Amino acid sequence: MQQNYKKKNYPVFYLIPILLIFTVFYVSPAILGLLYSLTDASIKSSGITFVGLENYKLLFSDGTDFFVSVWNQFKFAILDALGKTIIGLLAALLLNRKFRGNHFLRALIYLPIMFGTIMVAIIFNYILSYDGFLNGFLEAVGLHGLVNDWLGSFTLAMYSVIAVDVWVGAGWSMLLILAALQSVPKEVIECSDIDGAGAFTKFFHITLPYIMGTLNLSLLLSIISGLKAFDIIYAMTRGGPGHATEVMSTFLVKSMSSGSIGYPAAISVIQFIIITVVALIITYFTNRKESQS
Amino acid sequence: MKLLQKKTLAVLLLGGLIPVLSGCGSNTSNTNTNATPEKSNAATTTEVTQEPEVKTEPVTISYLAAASQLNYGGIKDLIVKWEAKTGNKVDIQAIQDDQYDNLVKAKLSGGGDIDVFFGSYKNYDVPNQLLEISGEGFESRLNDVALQSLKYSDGKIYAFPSSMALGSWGAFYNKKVFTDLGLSAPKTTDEFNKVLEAIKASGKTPIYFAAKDGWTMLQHRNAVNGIIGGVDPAVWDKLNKNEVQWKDIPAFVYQYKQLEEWAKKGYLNKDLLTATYEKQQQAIVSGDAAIIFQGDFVVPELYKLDPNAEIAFFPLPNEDGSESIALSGASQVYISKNSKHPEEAKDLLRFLSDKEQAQSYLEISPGVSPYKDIDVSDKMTEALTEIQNIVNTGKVSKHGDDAYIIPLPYDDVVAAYAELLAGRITAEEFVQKHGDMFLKNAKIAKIPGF
Repeated sequence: MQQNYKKKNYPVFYLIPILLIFTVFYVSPAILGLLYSLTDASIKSSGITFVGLENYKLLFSDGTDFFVSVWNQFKFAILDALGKTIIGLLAALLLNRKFRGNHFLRALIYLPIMFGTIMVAIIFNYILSYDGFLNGFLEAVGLHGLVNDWLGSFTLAMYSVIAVDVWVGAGWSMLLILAALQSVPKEVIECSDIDGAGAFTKFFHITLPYIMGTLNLSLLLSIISGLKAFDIIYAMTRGGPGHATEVMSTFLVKSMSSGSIGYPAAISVIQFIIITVVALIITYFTNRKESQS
Repeated sequence: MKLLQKKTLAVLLLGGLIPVLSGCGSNTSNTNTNATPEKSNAATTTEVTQEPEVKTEPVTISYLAAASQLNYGGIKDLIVKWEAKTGNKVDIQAIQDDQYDNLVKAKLSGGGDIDVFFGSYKNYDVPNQLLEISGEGFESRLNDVALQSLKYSDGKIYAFPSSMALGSWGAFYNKKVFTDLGLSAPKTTDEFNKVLEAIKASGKTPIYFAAKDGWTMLQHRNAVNGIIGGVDPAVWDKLNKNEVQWKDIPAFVYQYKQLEEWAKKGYLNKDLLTATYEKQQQAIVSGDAAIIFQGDFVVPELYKLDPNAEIAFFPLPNEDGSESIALSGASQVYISKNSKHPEEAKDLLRFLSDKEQAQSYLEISPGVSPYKDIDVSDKMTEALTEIQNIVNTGKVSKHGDDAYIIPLPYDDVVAAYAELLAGRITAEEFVQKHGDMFLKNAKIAKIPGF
């Protein structure tokens, strides 16, 4: 019996190191953040007093700026995830065929993810500025009507930042989906060819069901990444113009101007809760759909 | 088997503890570093009985400044001079202007290695984070404005003065554009509006804003604050005691209504939301734009672009033509209370603020001197001379950032400015937002009375 107990539990011993690391470097800071959010901790004074939910009350009674930032974060996350997944899917479908230059194109599409975010932001700040490369190109080819202040327009700035982030991350989605496409049995495709199925029929009825799990994973991971997006937005627009590209992360950084630690900690707790709830919901629905299929 | 399992478990537990211990290891190395001065102090103590010993081991002092501050006065050369004199080293850390405050606050609260840094008292826990520096020689050399600005609320001094000229804000204009159009510096807003219309009709941009570098827009706010302080010198006390709201200050509301009108009438550059500080400088120097609202620190930058540029100054016009400009206190340089080298840091700052170095600094970057014993009027450009003349007449008021106790909600004010200039909010909405964001910051910072 003792032998059986040891056999059953010994894999747990291998988890101890990673649990220790996870506790020290992830769980502890999160708990500290939660505790700080309940205090009036400030970098301008050494004393800390427990204030309960004061910081949260101030956050939710603070006009609409925080809610605008939450809405913008969701907008960014959803459009960004859709863009990366759809473009990744199209690129994967194209590059799943055999043709000359296939491998070179795969590397080219994946390349942007290798660039540092700040470098990408600096380069695109130049490209998208009012007298930057893009407007210059549009004027040169006679498309004066499309010339715009891509990062200075209140209506276009968010979409411009999303487009840049999609450009960076679509290659990662492409790789994921490309790997999934290899799992589609060739015999099934060949049978459908014999039966006279068209390209759309083959895709929607054969290929798509096989890669649906990977598409869901790509969407989920992209949405979670989008819900905590910060660097590309801060580096390109700092949440501006006005609050047009303000997201929760940039809102949190800007809230530090008061010197308070508790208030930004409260924002980070709310952000954590939002991301966790969204991730759980998406995971629940995707698991249900997969188990049904 | 039992022994093997025990050994396996022990190895795994040790493996998990290594990352934790490596964190402690860095503290251990700090402890070792701290031990070194004690050892050298011990050595010094035993030698004191034989002969007085000055610590000769060279040290490295960290010197944090906003990137733009390091462009003035040849400060880096002065620091090199001190290094050569003392053998010590200065690690100059230039931080991007709009990230400076947050980064320094984070370093101080995280116990980071920080010796000398710039800033404003309101951003710090002064008695606990800054070294008291009362009784230094510079106190008798500073003019009243500069000396008062260095005194904290407890009457003590926690900052050395930087030799940077006292700041002032207003309208800097391309004189050639004005001359070609037969215009002269306006005094009232009516005159100013006529000037702007004439410049617009000539095809040039009347006023150039650079909203991409948000801090540049706030120089207009600094100029506005100069007016409200001139109209009512007690306004800052009233704001600090929450006895008056921003929307109840007529001169403040008036100026933003003017700004709203200028935006509506097309007196501003079309690309203002993505224009940068560099583009603003190029626009005025080239004459593509006529006027910029800036601080006087912009003048040497403009002359670097074009030594033959003709740049002049007038205060932001007011309704009744009364002139008033904000004058900043002395730029404050602190020594961290936790500095490992306070004496060397003091020696550095004493050196930089002594008459010879301060004179050299101000001759390179002339402006309104904070020192009574230094006058660089003969080195000033036309714009700076005009500012000095206004200062000499006493038409100055406190700089808002020095006078207002509530920390500036920088990003919110920048966002509100962008919305106003883009026509997305009205002047009334801007003024209301402006008041609300400061009230919110006051509540978050737990300032009494708010």
